[in-house]
Amino acid sequence: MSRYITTRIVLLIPSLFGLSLILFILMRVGGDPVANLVRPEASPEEIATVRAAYGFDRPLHEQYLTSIGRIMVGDFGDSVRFRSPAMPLVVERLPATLQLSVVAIMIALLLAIPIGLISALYQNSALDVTLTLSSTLGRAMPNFWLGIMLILLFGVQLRWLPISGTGDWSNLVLPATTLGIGIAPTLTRLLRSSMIEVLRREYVVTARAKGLKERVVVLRHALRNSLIPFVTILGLQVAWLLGGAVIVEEVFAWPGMGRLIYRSVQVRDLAVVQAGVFIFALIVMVANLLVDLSYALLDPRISYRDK
Amino acid sequence: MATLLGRSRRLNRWSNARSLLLLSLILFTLGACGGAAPAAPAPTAVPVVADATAVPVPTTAPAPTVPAPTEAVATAVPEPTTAPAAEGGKTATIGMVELVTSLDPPTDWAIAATWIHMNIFDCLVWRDRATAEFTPWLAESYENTNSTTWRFKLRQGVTFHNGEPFNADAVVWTYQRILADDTMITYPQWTFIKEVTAVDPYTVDFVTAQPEPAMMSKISGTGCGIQAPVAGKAQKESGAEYKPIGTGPFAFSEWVKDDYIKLVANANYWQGKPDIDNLVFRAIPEVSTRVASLLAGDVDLMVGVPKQDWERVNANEGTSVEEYLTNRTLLLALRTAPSGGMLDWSGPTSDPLVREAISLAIDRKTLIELIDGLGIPTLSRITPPTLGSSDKFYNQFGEYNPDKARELLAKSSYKGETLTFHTSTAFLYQKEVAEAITAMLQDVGLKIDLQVMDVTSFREKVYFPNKNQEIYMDALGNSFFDPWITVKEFEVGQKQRSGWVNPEAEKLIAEAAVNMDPKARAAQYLRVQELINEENPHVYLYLMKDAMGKSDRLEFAMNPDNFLWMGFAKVK
Repeated sequence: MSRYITTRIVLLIPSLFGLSLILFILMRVGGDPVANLVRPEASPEEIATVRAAYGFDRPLHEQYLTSIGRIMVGDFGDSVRFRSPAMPLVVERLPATLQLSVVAIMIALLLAIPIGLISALYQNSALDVTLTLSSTLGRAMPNFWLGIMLILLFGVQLRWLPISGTGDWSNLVLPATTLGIGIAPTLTRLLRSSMIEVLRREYVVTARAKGLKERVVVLRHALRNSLIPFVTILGLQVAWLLGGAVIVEEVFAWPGMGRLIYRSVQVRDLAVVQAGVFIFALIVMVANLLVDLSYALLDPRISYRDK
Repeated sequence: MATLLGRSRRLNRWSNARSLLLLSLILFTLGACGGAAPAAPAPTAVPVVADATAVPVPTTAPAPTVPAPTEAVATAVPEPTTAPAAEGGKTATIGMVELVTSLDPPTDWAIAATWIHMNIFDCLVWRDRATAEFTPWLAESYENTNSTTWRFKLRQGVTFHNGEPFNADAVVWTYQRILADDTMITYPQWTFIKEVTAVDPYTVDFVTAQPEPAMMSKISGTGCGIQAPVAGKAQKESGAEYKPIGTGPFAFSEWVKDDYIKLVANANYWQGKPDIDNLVFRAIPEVSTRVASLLAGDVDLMVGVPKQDWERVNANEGTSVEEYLTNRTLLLALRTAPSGGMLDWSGPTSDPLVREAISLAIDRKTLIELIDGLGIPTLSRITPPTLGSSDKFYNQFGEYNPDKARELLAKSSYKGETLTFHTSTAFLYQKEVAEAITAMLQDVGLKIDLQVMDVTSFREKVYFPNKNQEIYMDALGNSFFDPWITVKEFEVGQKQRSGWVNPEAEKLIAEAAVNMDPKARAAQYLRVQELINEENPHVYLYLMKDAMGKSDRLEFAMNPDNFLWMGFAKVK
């Protein structure tokens, strides 16, 4: 297993290099970072001073190679906006994003598993149609809009929940629900179709013929075998979740990485974007690795043992 | 109008679409880093899923007699003496678009940062924003000992939040620190200072490179807060994270990045303890969420309430909207000659007749109706109470004469070329106003290519490569309330965006920059405004208004510079 994990980590390195190059090109082609660092009235001399102070006067390739050289030794450079090292800025916002994402996944699972199961068990019934339509609606609603609607209902009208920022668990409810509702429909639809397929398998028919209780047949035999595609998609949803977190963090003023990266993209703060994307890449990689490793738990025929 | 409002709202939300697109690309690429499928086959196929009145100024000097320090500065770093946030005290929460990037005043000059800094740090001089008069603040008095030397007598008995005494060394250290570091973002703002020296423990001399009539404006402007030197030096030496220690009405308590900054009342404030015990600045970037927070009572004050939300805020129990005037003027800048990043430019606006026609084609009354009256027409960026402002230009609609505009175009060198018109979506209604102006210009026979972009793209394409073409529109402020900054881009050597050459204006601007006689200086700027209106390198539209949403429990009057200094605010 260690060889498998090592291989996966090694494979990430060229991906990160490619990503850093794409980022650098996109950020620099997009515009001049100095434009966001000086006043509109700034004189050419002031602009030149700022440009030189941040090293933006050097050739582009030199800037890129310097940046890569630093990253190799763990130095992602300084944020031009915060005037401090970029990585700590990202790391200190990481817990907030992880907290939001984990709770969102839990909410998504709490919605997706029962709805998916019920839809599959009562296939083509009125209940199934209603739940399917609800899932489609959930998928169709943009995070931004849904977030605002939840704020107006639960924050302004009913005043049950806080609207923005951090505090206690109640501050997490609205943003995590918004994010969770975003991914639950995909998982619901997948679980439904997967369960329908598994429920038609011979071993399920056999289990039923043996007189096993329906609950045992569904949960132990059918659901477990439906979970591999479900978990695979859940892993892939992590990248989507992080993208969604950017918007949700902005709407709910949640002080996470997504908001930081979004603002940094706006002002061409390359160091912060690079550090943030590096952490995002690690999260996505770890999530997918965990998904792959979970296959062995779900299906004893899959093994990652080193030969 | 409802359609316009809706469009405007959508526009603001999607104005940063390019950034979102870029982020999406990054995240899409990230998805590719997800990893390969496991080596062992899965047993089942994995389905492919597809600011109203001036800030009150104390009438009495509150500082009692306190013995002068025997030593310039203590050597030990005093511990903060301000009590931490008192639970259950009076709290006021301000909803902000964003917080500071740094609590060190010279390193962050954004408006939001200034609002927070000015509640922690005091400056030597306070500018009454309603009258543009200057009031001694941490300085008890000041005088011009010669044309380039300003002597400040400092207030005695004032202490920093950590107990350090405020004295000449604090002032010298604060300014020398900036002047020694050209990477400080506010460094260019202070380069007019040649030297800062302590004459005695409570007297400081500022020597400027040349006579500096805008000295008081500049020294009371952004980043002017005096910092505690002993703690500052110790923090620098230890490399510890910067903690702001000033003499202001509130002391720093807590900063949760991107979430909130909490300040607590300075019980020893030299003007008396503020009424607010806990002042919280909370970052809520999305305007709809900010308004919702105000309605729900989570926030007591916010600025920039969109017009479409006014009725809702006023109808809500305990909240209301108050209009206020900003110091931001919306203007059209017309390129007159090749310069900056457009050295090979030759456009129709180089002809003064075309520029005059543009000015005559604009109906400011209609524009102000379009923006629901949220503006005062002006023909100058120098507006009251700034020195040099005049009724001749302020609150004037100017001449609107499309027929004369057509005649001028017929006489001009204009041959039907397309004029490029850049604008951003930084401010409410900016796109709608640009579209209305485009229609007005087309009506007199000009061909216009309107290019609307988000504010970052606008700055990157128009400002800093100086690749503005015939017309661009922007709203520019003057929080210094001094005329120098409003005509800076017409100075010799600063014409990268306008290219406007007028020897008389250049001479007047250069003379006014060092003229210590306010009356003569005002006359010089008045003449410059006349010249601008004659030759139209700028066509001014209106001074913008904005609105703050406020909880009824908060007693606060917006300053005309729109800075949220809360030292005298009260909570019921």
